[in-house]
Amino acid sequence: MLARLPVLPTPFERLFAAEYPRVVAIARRILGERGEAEDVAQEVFARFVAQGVAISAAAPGWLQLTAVRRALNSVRSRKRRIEREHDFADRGRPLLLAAQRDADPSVAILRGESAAAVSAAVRRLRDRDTTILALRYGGGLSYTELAHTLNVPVAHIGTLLARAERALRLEMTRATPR
Amino acid sequence: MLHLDDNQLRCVHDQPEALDALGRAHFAECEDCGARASSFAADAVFATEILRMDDRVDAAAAYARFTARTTRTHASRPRWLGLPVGLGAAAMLALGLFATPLGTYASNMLSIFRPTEFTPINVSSSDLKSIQQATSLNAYGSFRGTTERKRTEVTKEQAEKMTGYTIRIPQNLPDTAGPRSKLVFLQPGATLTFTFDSKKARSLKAPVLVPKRLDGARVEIVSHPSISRFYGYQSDGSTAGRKAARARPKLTFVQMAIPEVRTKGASLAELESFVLSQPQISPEVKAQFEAISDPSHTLPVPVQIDKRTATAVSVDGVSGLAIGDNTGVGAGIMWQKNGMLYVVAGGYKLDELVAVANSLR
Repeated sequence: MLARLPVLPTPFERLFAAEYPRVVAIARRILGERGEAEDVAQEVFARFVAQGVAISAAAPGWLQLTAVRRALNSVRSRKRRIEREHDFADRGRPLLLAAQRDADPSVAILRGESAAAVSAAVRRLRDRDTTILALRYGGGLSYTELAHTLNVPVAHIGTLLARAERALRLEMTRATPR
Repeated sequence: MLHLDDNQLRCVHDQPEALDALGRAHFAECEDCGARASSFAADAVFATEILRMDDRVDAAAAYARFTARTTRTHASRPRWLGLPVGLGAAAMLALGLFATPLGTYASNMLSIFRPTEFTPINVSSSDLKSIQQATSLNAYGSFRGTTERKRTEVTKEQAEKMTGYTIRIPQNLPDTAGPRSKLVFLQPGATLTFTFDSKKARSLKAPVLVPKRLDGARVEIVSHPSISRFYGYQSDGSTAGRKAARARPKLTFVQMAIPEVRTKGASLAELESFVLSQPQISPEVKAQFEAISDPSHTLPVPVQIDKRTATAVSVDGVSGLAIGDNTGVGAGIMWQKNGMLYVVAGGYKLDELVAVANSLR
């Protein structure tokens, strides 16, 4: 009779189960769309495997930071695409206008799409602010975890967070029509 | 006292324990700090509100999607690559284990600790190369002793007489793995002595500093005789025969007494500390070695995370380590029982190899 193999999750499966939701949440704070965030998360894990990153205490930080970078890259690709369309102004103007409308928080809020407006505002921030907000409010990272992932002293985290939150509020206020 | 800085004021909102007693006392009395902290808190509350989302995701479905994607990637590889990958795992687990620089390191670890279990160390391809470099002892000293060990084919009874082992043979084999021969391969034991030489290490292109304590220290690696048995399709020597043999799965079984290493002038802790201090070893790998809770009974086995998976399995009444490749074709299991190290490896699925391992008589 065939001996049954005890089914134990592999370290990678455990890592995936624990970190996938967090990676999606982080990417979503930047991209807005859940589907797009899930695509980024899949790419992040594929890259993790392809690059042979070790499963260690540092792995979650690698995944989270890579999620932020991939999400930011995705935003930039989208922006470049819009710019290319802008080059074909005459033919492309309708597309451009649509894209601009999507990216403009004020218009989005008027359309009742507050989530899209917020992520658009988050994307307008400096990368450093976007990163810390996504990790804190998407990933739920503590001050210590943020310090470890961003490789900065924990005594600076409060300041960085405060600046990013202030910048976000200003960005939302500036963009929201009165 | 000076006013609290931005970091402290932001902490007041959601990490007040970060403030010391002096800071708390100042904050309680300072209106300026109170006002600034309120402003930070308002920004934080605003951010919390607008960044709140429903973050529930179906991680199981996502994992299924991920593995489907990985499988598609693997499916695009030529079919024949599956076998070498499986045999690669086998080779690493079995005969190659004590013949590579990495194996030398493993032997060092074995030497001082009699391992009763194995633990995977997840490494990348570059980590593996770095470990091999860092554990290539030739760079830090010199070896003496026999490295060539001629393998001979003998009967089971002869092998038992020559080794003193009670040789166990798998009884339950996959249908495709008929015994090639009733004979077993016997490889005699060997002793290698390594002596640390700080002068040699300093003369390298990239000089390595051997600690004074280790200079001249001797490490004696004693590998005992090993018995191996190979199963699979036998080639008749023709081109077609060789091709057919290559296409069929192979199975390898190895039994050997746990190797020993005796050291003079160096403790395991010193050897481990020296190897792990080499710059080629990444912090992630170092952390995994250092995280082994019972190093005196645990043999670390490097597993390339992008190519293989490691799982704990129960075989032969003990706990063993199973290493499979990501394609699901090819795996190996190693375990230790009554002072013997056993390895079953080949181009079969893991549960088939577990069945083989559980059938030793």
